[in-house]
Amino acid sequence: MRKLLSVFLCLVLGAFMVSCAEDQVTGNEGGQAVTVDTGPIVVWTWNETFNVKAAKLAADKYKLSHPDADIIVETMEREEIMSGVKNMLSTGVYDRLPDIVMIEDYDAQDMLTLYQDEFVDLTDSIDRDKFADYKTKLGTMDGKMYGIPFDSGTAALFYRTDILEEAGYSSPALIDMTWEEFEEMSRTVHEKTGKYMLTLDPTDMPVVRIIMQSCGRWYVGSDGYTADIADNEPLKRSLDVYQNLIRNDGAKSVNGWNDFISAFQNGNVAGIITGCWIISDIKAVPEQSGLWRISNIPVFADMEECVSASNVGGSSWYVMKNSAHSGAAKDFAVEMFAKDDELTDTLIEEIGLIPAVKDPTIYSNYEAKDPFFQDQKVTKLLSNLADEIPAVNYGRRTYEIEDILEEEFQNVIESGNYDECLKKVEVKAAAVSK
Amino acid sequence: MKKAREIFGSLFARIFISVLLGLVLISMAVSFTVLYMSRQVFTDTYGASQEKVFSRIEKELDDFHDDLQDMMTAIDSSWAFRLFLDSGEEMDNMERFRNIYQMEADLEAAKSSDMENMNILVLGANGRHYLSRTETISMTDDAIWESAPVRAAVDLPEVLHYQISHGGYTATAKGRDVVIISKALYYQETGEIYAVVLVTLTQDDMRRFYDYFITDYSSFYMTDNNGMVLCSDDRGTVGGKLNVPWQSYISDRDGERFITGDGTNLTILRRELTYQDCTIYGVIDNDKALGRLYNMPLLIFICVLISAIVLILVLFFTSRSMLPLSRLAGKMTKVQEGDFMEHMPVEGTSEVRNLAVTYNYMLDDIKSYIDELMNTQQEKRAAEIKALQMQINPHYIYNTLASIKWMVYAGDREKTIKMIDAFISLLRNTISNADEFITTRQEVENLNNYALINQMRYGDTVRVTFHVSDNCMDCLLPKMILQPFIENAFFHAFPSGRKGNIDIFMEESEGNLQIRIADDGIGMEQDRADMELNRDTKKEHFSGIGMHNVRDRLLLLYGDEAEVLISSVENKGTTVSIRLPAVREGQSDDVKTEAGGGKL
Repeated sequence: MRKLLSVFLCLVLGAFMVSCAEDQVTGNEGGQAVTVDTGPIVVWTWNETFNVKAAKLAADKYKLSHPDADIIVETMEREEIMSGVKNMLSTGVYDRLPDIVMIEDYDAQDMLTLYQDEFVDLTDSIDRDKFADYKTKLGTMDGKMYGIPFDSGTAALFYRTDILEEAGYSSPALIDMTWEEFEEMSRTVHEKTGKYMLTLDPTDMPVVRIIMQSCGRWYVGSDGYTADIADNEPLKRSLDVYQNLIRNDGAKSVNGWNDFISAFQNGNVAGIITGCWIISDIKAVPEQSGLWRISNIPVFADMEECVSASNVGGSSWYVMKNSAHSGAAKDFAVEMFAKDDELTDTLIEEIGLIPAVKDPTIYSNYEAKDPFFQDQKVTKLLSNLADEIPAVNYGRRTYEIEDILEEEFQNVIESGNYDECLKKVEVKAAAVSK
Repeated sequence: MKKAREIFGSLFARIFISVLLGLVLISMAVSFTVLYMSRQVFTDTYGASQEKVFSRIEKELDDFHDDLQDMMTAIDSSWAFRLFLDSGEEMDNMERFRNIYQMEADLEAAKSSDMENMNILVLGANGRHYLSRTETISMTDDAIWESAPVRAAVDLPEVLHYQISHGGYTATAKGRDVVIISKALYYQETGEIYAVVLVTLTQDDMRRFYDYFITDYSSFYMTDNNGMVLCSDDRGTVGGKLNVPWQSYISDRDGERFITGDGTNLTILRRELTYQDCTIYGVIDNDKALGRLYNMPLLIFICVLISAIVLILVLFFTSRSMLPLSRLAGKMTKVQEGDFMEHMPVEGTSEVRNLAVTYNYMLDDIKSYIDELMNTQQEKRAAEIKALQMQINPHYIYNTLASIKWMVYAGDREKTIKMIDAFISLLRNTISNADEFITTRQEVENLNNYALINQMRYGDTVRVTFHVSDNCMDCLLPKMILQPFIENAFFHAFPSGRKGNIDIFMEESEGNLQIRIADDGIGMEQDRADMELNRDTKKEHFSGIGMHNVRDRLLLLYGDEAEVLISSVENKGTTVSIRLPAVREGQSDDVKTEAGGGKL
């Protein structure tokens, strides 16, 4: 009788332990799915010829030393990345969150202000002093560094020597120009060749930003949120430049990125004023090799605070904290984009990257001559320009304020009543930047 | 084998087995009934609730379709787009700059909020493009005009066309399965097509329409009118003909909700989207959903746990109540053996306690009855014997007194006094002395007196000699126990003045008092001698005690320890042997107690 009872108790205990053990096993399985990075690291970035290509080259290199790594680079649109990531973070849905995203410098502070805790703190993983100060500052919040600086957005004037020669200009004429000279030249080029000096897009105004920063100003003051528009002389002058270029057929009106790119790729324009990341798109047309040169941007002759160097665009890599493979992604991003100088060297050659570092002379391609740009030392030239770029605080609302500006600018582009326009813009900008 | 039967035959094991069996049956029956019933209910209610969700997908897709329709209309009616897409004369640069901005503004106004970043490409017949996003077109114009979505739109410009394509027109859609929604814009009057609007949606874009429907056990499919899968969470099927096991099941049925029965338990929801000319399917795997609903290991674990607890409790309480019962069984066996002292401890459940109390009460009752009965019996016997002892035959007294008278007449004074002394002593010892036990010494004295009186009366032809060893002088023996034998010898062994001897031997050996009364009289046949012991004669006896009384009395007093034997040989004599336990003064109480408490 006792025996029977004890046998039964053993059975019950056994069953209990088995069920517990089962729980543990399933628990482990569940745990493994989270902790072991077996799936691919997903990278979201834009611009196939530049950022996407860079990420893919980095992935290939990383796989040599990490054969098990699986990295997927997805081509997205800049705004799409921002809205997609913001949506996922705001709803807390992490299952389709990418592991690494590229964020443009203008958006960085906005993103970090909203979702600082969603990004991996890279302060201890990165040598901060290696990168240019203005870049690290943009990717830093509360003293913690989140972004790995990638490309410098050093602005430059890219021009087609063949078209300009046709219009009677030689290369030295384009160095250290004033905007007035540039406007004059643009008109002449159109008159003589029927082609335009550059393209301008009413829905995207990088030249305004370039001019502002070259004079150390921005849509907002140095605090990052006080609208600085009505009394912003460089801004006003930049609108003047726009109006003159459009009215005198110095610049072609285009719509959107596709028109902008295809305009110079099709040989319809003689020049581009934008960030140096455009080099990869210029080089995408090999037939134009040797026809391009690079010069510094024009300045205003009567404004001494303005220098012939500015910045537009430029981006950094950010690692998401709550994505599926955050740990592996951090390893990949840090190892490749923050530490691997050899990769950077390759990228300089392959996509014309101007790295946002303090000392670019460490790269062997620093002094390389680029036959595409008539053997100019592109990296050295642009890196030197970068040193002169005045630092400004972009704040969080660059594109929102620019949208307002574009809208109001439409109303005055023919009348030229900029003071009135900028006053209106300032009121609205002050509203959004608070 | 026998042990096994013993184990399973016990009440304990039977309770155990039946409770276990009952628990298993109950838990199985309840579980399966509940599972079966809830399965039906679940399939119905879950299907119905998912149908509502599904209807929401349908509505959202319809709303989206309406939004797209509105957007197409807005583009079609926007003067900015018209100017841009018209093949008419070139605008001047300033007009174009403003026109471009106006297009953007018009499109922004026409787009609903959920279309914020949508990939919208407007392709003019004049070769101009408008792309809503900051990216590049990755196909040539000719290739775009040749693509299936554009051709479909050109063929039927009135409606929106939904098509799946591997790879879109722009860089971000390259190499991806995208849904392209196309619509041709045409002049109302001439019907001439002046532009095509192409909206490109990635699978992720589409997923937001049906994302909340998707679980581990439900899938969504959207097919165009050719059965091509436009989008699905089952990515493998996207871009191909819908080819799933349940397809044959729904192909020939009308209706919106089906439940397949052939092996798979699927709920299939279907909606025809008239405007889009598409069909959407929602497939719910009820088995998987139920698997998620019921945690079988937990269910089994709970059943086992409850069973175990109940069994342990049952076993504990039965064993608690069974213990006094088995103890009772043991005690009762002892009662069978005559031991009435085994009381039961009062413990356990109330029933068992009652039983124990009643049993103990009964046991006490029985014991007191028996004790009483024995006492009564004993007293009765003692009274009987006493009565017999007191019963000195009056004839004996007359005759003895008559003999004394004759002696007085004969003038033999000395002899007479001797006779009277002996008679007095005899009477005192027998009548006056109330003790039942006397010492051997007194008994010998009595017997001497008796023999003397007999010799006086009947002449001294018979000599009586006592051979008493010193060691037994203090031994106790019941009063008047030897007299009947001597009397018998006097009157039957020596008829008609025959001379002879009666020898009485008394000694203690091996803890027994051995008494032998031997005469050398005529003797008798052994058979008669044995009968003699049981014969009740009342002729001329000294007392009412006959030889048969002696034996009874000895047996009563000593039980098996006493023995009376008589052996006789004709003409040689008779010998009576008596054996008693040797008891001395001071031990007499024990004898009495022993005699009193003798076993039945």
